[in-house]
Amino acid sequence: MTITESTSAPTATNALEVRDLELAYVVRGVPRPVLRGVSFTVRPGEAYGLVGESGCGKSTTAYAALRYLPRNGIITGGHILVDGDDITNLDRNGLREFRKQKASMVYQDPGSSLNPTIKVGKQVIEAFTVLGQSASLAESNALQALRKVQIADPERVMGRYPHQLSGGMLQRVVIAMALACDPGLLVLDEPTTGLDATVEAEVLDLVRTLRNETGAAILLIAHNLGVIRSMCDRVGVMYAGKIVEEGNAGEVFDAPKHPYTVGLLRSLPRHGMHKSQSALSTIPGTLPTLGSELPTCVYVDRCPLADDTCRNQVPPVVQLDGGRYTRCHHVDAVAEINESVPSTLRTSGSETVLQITGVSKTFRQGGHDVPALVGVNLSLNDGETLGLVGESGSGKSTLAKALLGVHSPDQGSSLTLDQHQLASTIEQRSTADKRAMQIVFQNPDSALNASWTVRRILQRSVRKLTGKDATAADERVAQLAEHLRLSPRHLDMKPSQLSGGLKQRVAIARAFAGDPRIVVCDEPTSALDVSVQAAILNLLAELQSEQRTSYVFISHDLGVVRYLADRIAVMYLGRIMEVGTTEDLFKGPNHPYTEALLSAVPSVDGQVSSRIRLAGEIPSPANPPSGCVFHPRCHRAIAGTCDAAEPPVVEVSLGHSIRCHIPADELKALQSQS
Amino acid sequence: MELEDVNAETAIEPALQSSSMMIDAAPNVLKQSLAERKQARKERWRLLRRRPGFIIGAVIVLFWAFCAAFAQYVVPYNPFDDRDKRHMPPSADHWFGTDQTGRDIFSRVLTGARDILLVAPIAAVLAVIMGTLLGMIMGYFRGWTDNILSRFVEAFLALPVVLVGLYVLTLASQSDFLQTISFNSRNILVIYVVAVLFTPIVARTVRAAVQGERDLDYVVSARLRGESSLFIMTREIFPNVTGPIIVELTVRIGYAIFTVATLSFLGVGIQPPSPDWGLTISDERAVLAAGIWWPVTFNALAIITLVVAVNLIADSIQAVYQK
Repeated sequence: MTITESTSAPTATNALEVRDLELAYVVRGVPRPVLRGVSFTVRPGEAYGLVGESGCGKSTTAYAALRYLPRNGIITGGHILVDGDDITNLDRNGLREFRKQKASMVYQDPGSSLNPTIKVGKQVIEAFTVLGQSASLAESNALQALRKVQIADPERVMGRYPHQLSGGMLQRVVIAMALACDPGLLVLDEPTTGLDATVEAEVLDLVRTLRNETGAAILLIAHNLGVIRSMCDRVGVMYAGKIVEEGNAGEVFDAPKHPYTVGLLRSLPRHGMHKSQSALSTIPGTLPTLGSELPTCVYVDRCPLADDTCRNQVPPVVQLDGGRYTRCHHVDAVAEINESVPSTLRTSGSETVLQITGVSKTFRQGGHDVPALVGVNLSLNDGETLGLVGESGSGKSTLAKALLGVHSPDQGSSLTLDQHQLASTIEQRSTADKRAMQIVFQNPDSALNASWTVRRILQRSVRKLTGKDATAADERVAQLAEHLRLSPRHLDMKPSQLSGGLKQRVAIARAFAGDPRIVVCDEPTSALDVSVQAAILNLLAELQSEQRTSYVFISHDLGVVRYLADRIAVMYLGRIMEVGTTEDLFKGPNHPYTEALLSAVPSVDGQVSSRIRLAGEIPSPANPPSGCVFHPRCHRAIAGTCDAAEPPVVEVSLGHSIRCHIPADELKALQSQS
Repeated sequence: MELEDVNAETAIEPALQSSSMMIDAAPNVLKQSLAERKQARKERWRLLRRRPGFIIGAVIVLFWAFCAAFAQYVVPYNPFDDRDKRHMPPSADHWFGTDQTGRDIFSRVLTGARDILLVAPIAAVLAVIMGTLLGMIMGYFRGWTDNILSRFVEAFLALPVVLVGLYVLTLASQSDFLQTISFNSRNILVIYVVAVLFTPIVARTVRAAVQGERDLDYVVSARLRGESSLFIMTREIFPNVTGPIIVELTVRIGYAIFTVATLSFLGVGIQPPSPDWGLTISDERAVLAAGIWWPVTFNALAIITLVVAVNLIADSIQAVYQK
């Protein structure tokens, strides 16, 4: 935790003060309220977090704080004060001066905040020249700024174009530019979304360090509650354009006092929860329509505690200890909201469905062999979930595509499904084999044909995979829809008319169209909000239990994998580094890479992680390091051994193997120390 | 979220949509799903009508289309009748003056729209059909197919359209084969030539659009349930690339008008006695030096207005589709 109690005297001006801010987006002449009286303050040097699901107005608040609003965004009430100055009505020139001197913003996608056609160095230098510095001064300052964000070789980085740098590196560059004017306020809008957990941890560490060095106040927007908890002193929970609860981050997350906060936290798989113990809690219903009338409590339609009082009266602001408040009529009852439902799921079987033996995949790229998968051995039982984790570029998706026959694996690879050999490409496989293995993609927007209706999407899969005639297929579609809790009216809609969660349900329904033996889930919930994620995960677990389907579940979110997976395989550079039951994997001993992955996850429970930070980035598979491919980044590498020979696969306990030179006992001893 | 966005979108513009489309509550939004494609078209149409460029372009094009169809019945003089009054400047009797054989230029300009407005759009439509087929094959199959076809397309693109047209059409007068396939009609031959010359350009555009789609997961998903390439191309991908194809069509019509006019000017396109604009300019350009400006000017203005109008429409359609 980084709670540095604000040391400033109470008389000091706040870094940011937002007072009863009301904001509307004008859509074709009609203003639609988005923020409904948002008030909060960020004290100098403080880190304040805003959380909430997409559409709650947190990003709008962040942009409004710097008056970066689209042309149709109008402030209809309230004030924004930065460092004591009211910027609500500043004109263009005033805003320009203000942004130059007082505040900066870091956006979600660093790739799009830099100009792809201009070298990084020139762009960083420009951040200084706009402050009126001479070219040579700006250049030396730019170098210094890049060093400050822990870029080891700033001269080299300055000569690169943005596309030549990794996401983590780009975000560092963007942060360096944001800090050019030494702002009193730094607004970070989802700064680590889309980055790997290991890179995220590094960027967050950097922000912490910079905050201590510069004393800048931080307004952090994130949907990841763990990130907020590990970074912020205070937190505001937003829902439908209102802050429903505010207080010290630790207190809010440990003992939430608003039903929405409770709902958000409970939808997360936490405390090592597993599907076999309990289903995840979900928040019923959906976010209210943009700009809808919410005269009383904004959360009333989805709240388990809602009664007539809630429907008829505006909830009071209930002040609690430690400067906390919540807007709820029933503060005392919040703690009694039911915990999650106990699970009634069947456990995985012992019959092997899929045997993966020596699967390799080498791509030819520019005349070079790029080994994306190297000798992968895994097995999958019926009704089992195999979690596949690793940084991006570790070969998880390539493995999934090799299983499905989208990429044909190299000679010598063998895939056996129910004791028979699978053909290497999908086109060569029989309909029964096609039917047996299906996939749920990460992004339902591209996974569903935008010009087809949901009915057509499902019907086509049913007919093609099961050979049913039109009427039988219609019945099956209706049945699938019911199973996936899609209402019949959704069937005649096109994907673009559905919410993200509904789209993903359609994608899952399609995968289940032919009663598959195995479904590959490629990050199926990473594009979804936590409450939607919870519903989807529950659904996947139920379907599996009913139909004995096996899952290969790819995810970068270890909390999700831990909840859903029975066994987990950790991949690095196309190789399986560790495989074991979920329990074994989280208990240890672990491969040093797994250890690093585990410690990179920011926890919403406030557990202090041991912080192993991986140095550098995942190397190119075209040119893998000698010996153990992980040794250049390994914090436990033994010089002379790890760089010389490929490590053996050691079975630590039954079904738990690690590919490492260090003996398991030693790993265990080392890992219990830290 | 998108569900609500749709609500918002439709709810906001009730005035321009039928009352059944006014949406307040979520369930009603679904009623439209059947009429949804129609509604998307309606929405695009509504956006188009807001653009002054589109309105101006459409008025001009409609005017010329009207001329092409009916001018022969309404013009003051028979456009083919020779008179003694040769090269008379514009006057109350002859608004645009008369030409070298004393024909009324005003009547000829209006009736001159006929051939070009038949030949150019048909050529463009043919080019878009052929180009779409070719582009879809290139974009979908990639690899060797794409490599070989792309080289051909690029080689074709390197040739100046008018020059090749001139060459082929000149040869055509000697070639029995070309005369056979063109049923002895010059206009049909011009359509073929322009269509073939425009095909590679269309193919390249369609190829790019298909390539953007083919890597999307829905295509992988179709392969995983065993769809044929033909099905994936025509049923899965094609509906998602109609936007760029329609834009390409409008742009190509503009270019086709220009190309056909040029070929006619060069004497290999539309043939006399048609009052075609390009042809007339060619016939009358010699007297321009003698200060007889009206025959060339009014025909040139006709070409300019038509090409500009079509391009105005093309720009608007492009802007609307790219939203």
